[in-house]
Amino acid sequence: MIRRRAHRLGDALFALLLLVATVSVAQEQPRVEERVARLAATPAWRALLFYVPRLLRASDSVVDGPGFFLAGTGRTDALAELAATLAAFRAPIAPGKDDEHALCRYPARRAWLAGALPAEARAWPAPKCERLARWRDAFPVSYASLVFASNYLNVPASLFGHTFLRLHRPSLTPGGPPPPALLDAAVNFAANPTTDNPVAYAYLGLTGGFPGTFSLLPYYLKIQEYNDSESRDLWEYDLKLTPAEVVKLMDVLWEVGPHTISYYYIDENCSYIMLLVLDAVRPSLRLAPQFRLFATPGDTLRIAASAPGLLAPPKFRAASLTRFEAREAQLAPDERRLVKATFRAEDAGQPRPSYAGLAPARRAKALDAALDWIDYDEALAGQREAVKYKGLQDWLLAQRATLPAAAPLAIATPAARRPDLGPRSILVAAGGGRDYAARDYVSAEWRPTLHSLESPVLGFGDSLQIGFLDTEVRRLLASGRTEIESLKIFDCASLPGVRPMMTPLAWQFTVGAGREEFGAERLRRYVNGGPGLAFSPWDAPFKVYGLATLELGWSEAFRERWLAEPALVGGVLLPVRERFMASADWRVSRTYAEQGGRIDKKGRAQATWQVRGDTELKVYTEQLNGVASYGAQAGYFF
Amino acid sequence: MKIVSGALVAALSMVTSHAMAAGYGAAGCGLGSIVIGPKPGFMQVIAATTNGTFASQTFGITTGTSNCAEKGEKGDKAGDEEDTGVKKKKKEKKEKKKQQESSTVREQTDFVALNLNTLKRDAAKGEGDSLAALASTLGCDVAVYPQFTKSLQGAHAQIFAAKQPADVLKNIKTQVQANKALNDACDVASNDVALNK
Repeated sequence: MIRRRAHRLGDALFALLLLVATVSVAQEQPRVEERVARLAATPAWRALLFYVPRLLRASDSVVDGPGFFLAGTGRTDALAELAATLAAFRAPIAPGKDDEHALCRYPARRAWLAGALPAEARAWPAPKCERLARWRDAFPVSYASLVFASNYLNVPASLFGHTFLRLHRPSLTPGGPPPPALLDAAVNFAANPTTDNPVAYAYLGLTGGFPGTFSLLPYYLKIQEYNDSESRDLWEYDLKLTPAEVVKLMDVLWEVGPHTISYYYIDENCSYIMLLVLDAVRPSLRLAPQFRLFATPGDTLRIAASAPGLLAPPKFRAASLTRFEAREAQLAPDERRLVKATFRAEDAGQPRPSYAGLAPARRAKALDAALDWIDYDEALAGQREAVKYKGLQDWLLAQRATLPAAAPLAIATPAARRPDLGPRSILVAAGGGRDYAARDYVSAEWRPTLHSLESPVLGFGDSLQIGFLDTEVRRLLASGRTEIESLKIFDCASLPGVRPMMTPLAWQFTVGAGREEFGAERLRRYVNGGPGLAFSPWDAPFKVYGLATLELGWSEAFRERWLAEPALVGGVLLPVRERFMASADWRVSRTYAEQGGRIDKKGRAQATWQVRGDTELKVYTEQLNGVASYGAQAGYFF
Repeated sequence: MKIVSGALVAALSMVTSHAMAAGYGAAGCGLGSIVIGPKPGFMQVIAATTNGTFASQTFGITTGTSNCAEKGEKGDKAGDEEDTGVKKKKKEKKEKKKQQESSTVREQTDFVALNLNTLKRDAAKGEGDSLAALASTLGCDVAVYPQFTKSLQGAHAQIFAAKQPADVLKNIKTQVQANKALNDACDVASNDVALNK
């Protein structure tokens, strides 16, 4: 401890000496120290160092890699880092090591300091930054986009979506069309897991145990990963940066790119880091400080979208399933039957039905749908070859190649799912009502993230529910007792609709604890889940679903014993407007416990209305075995 | 709160085990020159994306070639050893030109290798992003993209009969060379270099 303190003191003294040295030669103004100190405190300088505000302690940088800082205390002392940077910029060039000079390693700091201290900049040497020049030459960029990959339920790390940058290459000929999208580049920030142990993975992921690193990839790899392999839609928001800001973006990436940043799943994650990069490019944005507690990728977009003149409206790049659905929609019923029969025959090892009966243009559409189904079903991406339907794919491709070229598949942007239009992740709500025992209560709810099926569809669609630590506390007005009503540690549901040619499984899974609802005031801890089906009859704008669930729990109401509770659930979701959702469900359950089982019938109806983007009002009524309860709640998203 | 976070970790790890079971291999290096390892497969490429294994030296692109250059050079060396005397002489002549073109050809081969399934599908349909990107990688003028697409669709069976990406690329270049308009508008003279890959 003492040694560390001494070390810090040494660093500070060294920085001070450098500062004095700098100042004495600079001859700019009599009060250069003050000027340098003021510069070190500016958001622009602190953003270049990736400083972030911290709870209950002084702000410091998220960058871990020691190589990023020139001062030993640079991570926590922006002034020392500025002094060290100025000193390093003035340092003579080591013979033959131009590229290692600070002026070559820190082009973003260099440009900014040259603007802020022009007289000082005249004293800098002129190293030949060949590596930097090669990076700029090899990598011309005309503009950049912030890309959002939609939520992916199959992998926990992707539950909340993902964001990364796309770097657009300039046109090959002046004034010509942009080069093909696939040849652009992507800048990704992701955790670099150091363990295969799932428990350690989750623990380290939440506590910053993994180093996060930047990577630079061809954009087609990101398209393959999200659109094709994981079937996630991509939303591309062009960043309205000036040409100078695009240069600065590349310089910032050059500076920070090689260094690691501890990855925290909850806050210092991919999305947050992207905001820090944007803040470094345009310090007036101050995007990162707007985060509170959690940073979900969707929130990144909503914060960036709220900054005036930063994001253009998004372009939509459809996932493999979305593409298949668009192909399927182009087919007549008999053509759908043919495609379906093709896969049925293939699965059963029977001869393939002939497509020859269809006119060439129709045949092409049917073959395209069948081929896109194989892509989706086998998650084919890039170099991955079909396995299950290899023979069928070759057979279809050979026929398809003899038919006229397809028109590009036009897929309308699903505006209701546009991710920047949804509310932010954290919901805090207050309400009141009357419970089953006819007692009046007031309630408070906190849902850190993210979306409930009963909430309006805007930004999320109607088939996804993701909740963490959703907590409701109630206070009974008569007795004055305050208790936890419900705590859902993890609450997920997926209700993909049945399509003409496919029957995806709906499912639900919840881990939590809650009060028993028949007035016993006892707590039940439970795990609940089960499969089901959902569909929109006649393509109507509502969705009905059914689930068969099983709950395993431990309840104080059953003499502190284990219980099992199978149930059938049926429900309907009616998105009356993008910001207004009406929903109802009905549940019948049979509880098996060592001491006393029971049958319960429960119905619930709810209406939820989002006023503007950040306020939600809901009213609900429930019936449990003929006894009613009701309540209302107002919530705020932040 | 400890119990809660413990449960959260447990809940996460339950679903994580599925993802972790995939066992990603090592992958990755700089832009446009992704190494295809001994076990090709998309997950390996994914590993490059999510694991960020190549952020080491200045973003994987410091020298424009990064750790991929090493792999490329190794590959060339292996080629040298196999070369016969005659071929070697011929090779020396072209050495300089090759050096300029090798990175382009590597980019082309990588593009074909990493997009093979997509190319196969798009070429059969005569439509798709991957075809324009390939045409651009082959240096074709924008004006001939439709013709390029048509040519690939027409020769779909011949082109994709090949199993190795380098051979598919060679077949594609052969098609382009066989069509005068395409040959003039594209830059596919470096066909033989691709064979060495």
